[in-house]
Amino acid sequence: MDAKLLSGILLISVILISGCTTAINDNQQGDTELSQNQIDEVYDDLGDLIIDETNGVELGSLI
Amino acid sequence: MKRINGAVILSLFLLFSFSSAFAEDNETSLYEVELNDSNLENELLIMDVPEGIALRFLQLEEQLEIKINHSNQIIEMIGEINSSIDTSDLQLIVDELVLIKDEVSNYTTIEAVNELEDALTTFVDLKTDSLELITEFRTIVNELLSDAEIELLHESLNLNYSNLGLETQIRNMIRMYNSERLQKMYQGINMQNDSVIGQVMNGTMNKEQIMIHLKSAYEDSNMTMQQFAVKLKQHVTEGKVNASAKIQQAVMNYTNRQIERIRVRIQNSNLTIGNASGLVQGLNNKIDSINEKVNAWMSSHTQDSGATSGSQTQGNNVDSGNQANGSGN
Repeated sequence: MDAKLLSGILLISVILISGCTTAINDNQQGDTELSQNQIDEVYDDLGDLIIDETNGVELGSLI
Repeated sequence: MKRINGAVILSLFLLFSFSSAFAEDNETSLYEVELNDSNLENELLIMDVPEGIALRFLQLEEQLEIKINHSNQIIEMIGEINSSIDTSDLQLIVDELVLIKDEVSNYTTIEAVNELEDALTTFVDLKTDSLELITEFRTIVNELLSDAEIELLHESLNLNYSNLGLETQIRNMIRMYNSERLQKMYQGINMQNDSVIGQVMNGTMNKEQIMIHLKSAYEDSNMTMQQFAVKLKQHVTEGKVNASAKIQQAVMNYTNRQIERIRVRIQNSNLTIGNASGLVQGLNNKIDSINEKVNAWMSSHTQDSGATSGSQTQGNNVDSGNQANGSGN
């Protein structure tokens, strides 16, 4: 009985670890397959990191 | 069987610890502050390098200088509209904005930001103080004047104020920042292009041209467009995660730092402002008001949640607040 319970716990642990590993791998693999839209988004985001005079600090209006 | 019991107890203990930690964190942020600043994350995005930090402080200084100029004009115009209107509260706000601008101007060089212990939190603090004061200024003006009079202010306000020295410093810092940013991106994709960096540094390549260059730069690498974009995406994602984490960090203990900043301003006001007694009184009142807010939150929260881990967090805040209040007065 004890051994069965222990096996159950071990099995659940293995499933959880396996699930997490798969999710991480999927995520990494997903990164390497960007659509053209996603590539455009990357360059849009890069546009926030390259600065010109229009990208300043905002303090709101006095009146 | 004992081992299994031990494992179950350990698991429950871990679960309980995690839930307690999250509960305490949520309660702390509930009390601490609400940063109603939709631009903040975007502004922090570039502050992972000293050039980006110095640039944001320079831009904050410039904005404060412009707001101080405009608010002085507004006070003068209110006096012209109706000389019996008391504008002393507005003047106190301007005086405090001057003190904040002086603080900000200490952090506008790369050497200065390198010495700062936590530059991003300092930026968030000073910007939030500025935003609060500007909101307060706007609220008071709305109470003092009619809609037609405010419209008149809008029409009459001279928006052409500029500080050429600051503008030049900002322009130069933008070039330094962009070249540093490009270098970091190149490092991430194992490339080097001194010619482009040089053009960005001397101002012959603007943002639009940099973006065009980045879109075609994969041709000079041994990567496909896909691989190149993936590498660049990592750079962007890291920056966004850092900016978000920094905002969360800045929210923690915000009120204690705010009280400390006001106390420093009380000391500085005598050096900067000619007759500072009104400002000192106003700043002391602000400390009292913050403490009242903390105490009100504490008593309502204690009634709501009883003796939980959150109560301990609140207790710490109140102690600090009361100490600050005592010395502030």
